[in-house]
Amino acid sequence: MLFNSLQFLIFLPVVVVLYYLIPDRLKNFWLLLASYYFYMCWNAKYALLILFSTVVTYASGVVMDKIRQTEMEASQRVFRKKICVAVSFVLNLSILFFFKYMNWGMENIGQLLRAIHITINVPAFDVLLPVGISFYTFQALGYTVDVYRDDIRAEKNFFRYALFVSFFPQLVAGPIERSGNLLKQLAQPKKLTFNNFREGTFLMVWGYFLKVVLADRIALFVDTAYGDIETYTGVCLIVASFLFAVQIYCDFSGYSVIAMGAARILGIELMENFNAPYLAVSVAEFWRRWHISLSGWFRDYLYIPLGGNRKGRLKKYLNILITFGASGLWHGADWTYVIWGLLNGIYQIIGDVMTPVKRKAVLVLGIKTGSISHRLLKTAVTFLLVDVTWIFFRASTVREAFRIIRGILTVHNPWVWIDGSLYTCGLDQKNFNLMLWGILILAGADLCKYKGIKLREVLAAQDDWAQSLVMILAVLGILLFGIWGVGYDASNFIYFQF
Amino acid sequence: MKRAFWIVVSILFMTAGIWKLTSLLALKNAYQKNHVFMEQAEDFDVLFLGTSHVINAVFPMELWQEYGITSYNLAGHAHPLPATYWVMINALDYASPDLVVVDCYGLEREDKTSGEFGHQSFDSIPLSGNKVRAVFDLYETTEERMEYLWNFSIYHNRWDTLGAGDFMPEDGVQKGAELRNVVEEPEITARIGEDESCTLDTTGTDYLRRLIEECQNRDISVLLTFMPFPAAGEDQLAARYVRQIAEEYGVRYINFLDMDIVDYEVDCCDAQSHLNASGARKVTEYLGKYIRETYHIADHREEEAYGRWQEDYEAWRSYKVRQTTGLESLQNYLMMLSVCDMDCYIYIEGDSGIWRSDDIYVKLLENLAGETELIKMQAAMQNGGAYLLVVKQDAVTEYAGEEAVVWKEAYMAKAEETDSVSDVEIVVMNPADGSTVDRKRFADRMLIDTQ
Repeated sequence: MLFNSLQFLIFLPVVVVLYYLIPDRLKNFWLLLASYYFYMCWNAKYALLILFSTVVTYASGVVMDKIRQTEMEASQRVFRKKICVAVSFVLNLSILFFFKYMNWGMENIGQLLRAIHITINVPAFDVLLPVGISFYTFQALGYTVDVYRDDIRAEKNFFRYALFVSFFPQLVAGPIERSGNLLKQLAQPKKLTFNNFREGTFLMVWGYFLKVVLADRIALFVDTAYGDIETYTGVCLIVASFLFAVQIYCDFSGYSVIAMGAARILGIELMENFNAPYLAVSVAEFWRRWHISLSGWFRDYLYIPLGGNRKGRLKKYLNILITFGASGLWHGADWTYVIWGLLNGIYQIIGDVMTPVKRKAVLVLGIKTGSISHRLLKTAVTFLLVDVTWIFFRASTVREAFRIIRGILTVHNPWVWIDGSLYTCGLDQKNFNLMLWGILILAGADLCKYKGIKLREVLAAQDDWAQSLVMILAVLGILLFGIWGVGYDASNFIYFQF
Repeated sequence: MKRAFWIVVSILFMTAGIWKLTSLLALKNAYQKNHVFMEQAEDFDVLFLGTSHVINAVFPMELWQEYGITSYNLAGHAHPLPATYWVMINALDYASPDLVVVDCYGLEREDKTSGEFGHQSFDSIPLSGNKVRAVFDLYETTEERMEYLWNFSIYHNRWDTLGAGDFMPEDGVQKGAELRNVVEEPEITARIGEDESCTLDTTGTDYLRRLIEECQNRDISVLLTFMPFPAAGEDQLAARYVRQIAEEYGVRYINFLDMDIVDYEVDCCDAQSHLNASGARKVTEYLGKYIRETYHIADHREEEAYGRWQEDYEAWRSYKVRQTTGLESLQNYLMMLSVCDMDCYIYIEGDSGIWRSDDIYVKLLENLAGETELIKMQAAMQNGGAYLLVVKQDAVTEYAGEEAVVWKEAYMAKAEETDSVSDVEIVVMNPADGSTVDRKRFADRMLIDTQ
């Protein structure tokens, strides 16, 4: 069930209305039932995988809690808890590996053997990748580590914990919630408040704008250009690459915002997943603003346990590469994702290495680091660097990524802006212009966010009639200009595949 | 309380906005097809149902002019009988006809819908219980049903093609019919043997039976037809089977496939054998006479309450003239002259190529002359002399050779001098006041100038 489907627009109000009508003690059961139904609409059998992951991580938590209460030597206690963590990780990651990486791994082994002239028949498993498996697996594993670290007490109520793992707004594409945030909120039954309803509705409308007006419109251009890179070269590919950066942002942040909105209507506050990432002035800052829940997960559960930046510069760089390589793999079983991750890591290492040089250059050249022009330049350079990595992310193979880069660098056809041929690439001029207006609105909203201005609060401070007017115009605008309806392939949110 | 008020107000305005956008963005062909029907539904004594064969073959405004019959052509493009059935059921929510004429083309079909063509028939019908039942019966997927119950879901992306006609849509003047102003010879098929027959038990027959029963339950007469076209063998068999159903229910049936009402060489507009305006004129004329003689359908021409019908007829006549004067092909022009209710003078030079091209022009001239035999035309063709054909509403006159040249100057005011040389010159005049409506000159069968 997609957020941009008719089913969801019926499902959510039903869930919300019943949630607030039933007695408090039944509320979590109802949400759990709704969450499993939500997932089973896609594939009923794969709900068993969520259940398995839930049981394993719940049990690991309970056992660790028992160990914590048992009198024994501290080292013995830590050792036993580590076994629990290891069992939880091995079981969960085995499932993830089987469904997501097995075929890719076998294929690579086969290629490696063929390279040394050993020919064997590598089997391929006909399995469907469970939607959102990386998200709920990481969320559940995060809980295991949190209990291990004594950051939280193990959850005793199995159903509440099951709801934590499967809470439908963020089940299939995040944000990857922390147990400390979500479990605590699930412990308290919620009452309907006007503020939650209003905020949640605003968030959802904004999310739908990002998804159906912007992301899906941009996809028409990007898919056309990247689908025929022999025809669409030079400027067309540059524009497509620029637009893909916007598309994936709108697509993914759109999902996150709708998830936040739906949860907010139910009285649950999910974490922010994006914070104006393309206004970052360095790649490191970009990663503090992009997919915050995943970046935070890798920071807290991989980078820091690896030693972080505490064990020397070389080890720090190695840890960065491991973390970003793993992040790449988390996104997909393909070398394109690995290269995408590593490139982001390499940027940060180069940025770190170059810091003294940059400082020196600033001093020698008398650059005003606080000026708008300097910030704009840094923002543009950061965007450009990130955008190059998106080419690998979007391409279906590494070879295709390099062909795209070659098509960008070797073909010079600036006239496509003038002779109108740019508008044959999936979007006519009217739709292209509409898309630019949409991007302008997004840029304005992100700038406000970057400056700490909360538009939702600004709107909430207005008179009721003004709020109503904005809401009416927004909904009508989305219905009118959105890419949806019959004949529209309700394209999955890009991050569903992860 | 205050907040609840604003929530309700927001929902109301949002709903109103969506409703307005829905009507603005909808394709206007549905509006043009059915808006007049919805507005004047109580006027109609006869409803025509079926497929494009009916849309192109029956002109309700001609039935009005000739017989005072108030009718509407509700047929839909490619409609199988289930769609026809539901169009009628929905129409009967608004109209109370005395007679329903149903064309049975497609009787052998098992499908229920006509793809995207269904929108033209169903889009402008307001949401009602019967519309919901129709959509749920005809369409299987949620997407399709949504598409028909709330067409905003398919038209919302038309925002970039909106024009003045979307903001101020014009009513159709054809009362549901569609005039075709083109001549094209269809592929002619062989007639099946006299003794060949078949029995059908299809979705089409099911719905035809339901349709007849529904009408009989409501005391509405039913006339079944099979419109003329060069039918393939299976269509001819289906047409014969309709007679069994008609006899079974005691309703009348006209199988045009067995009649020579139309001449396929001049009366069709495409290879798929739809009738052009000339063919439609003949079928409409036959049907009008048949209905007048067979059913007790009132003649409303003298009734004051139907005064607007005469205005509608004038609009229809103007439409026919516009459809004629805009043409550039001689053969299409000659065909349309037979239906546009104007006097016309056709002068053909002695050495005109149309005599030598093929006999389509001869047939078109004969078609224009109606029942009058064109004796002098044959002489002109053989001797290569000039020829003048004068077709007035009450008489047809022809001149050949020298007299054609003389009478041409008498009848047809001299055309403005031009450098171009024509071999066919046609003047169209309004019989009411003798004013020139159109003057065209053709060379090698194509228009060279209009004055």
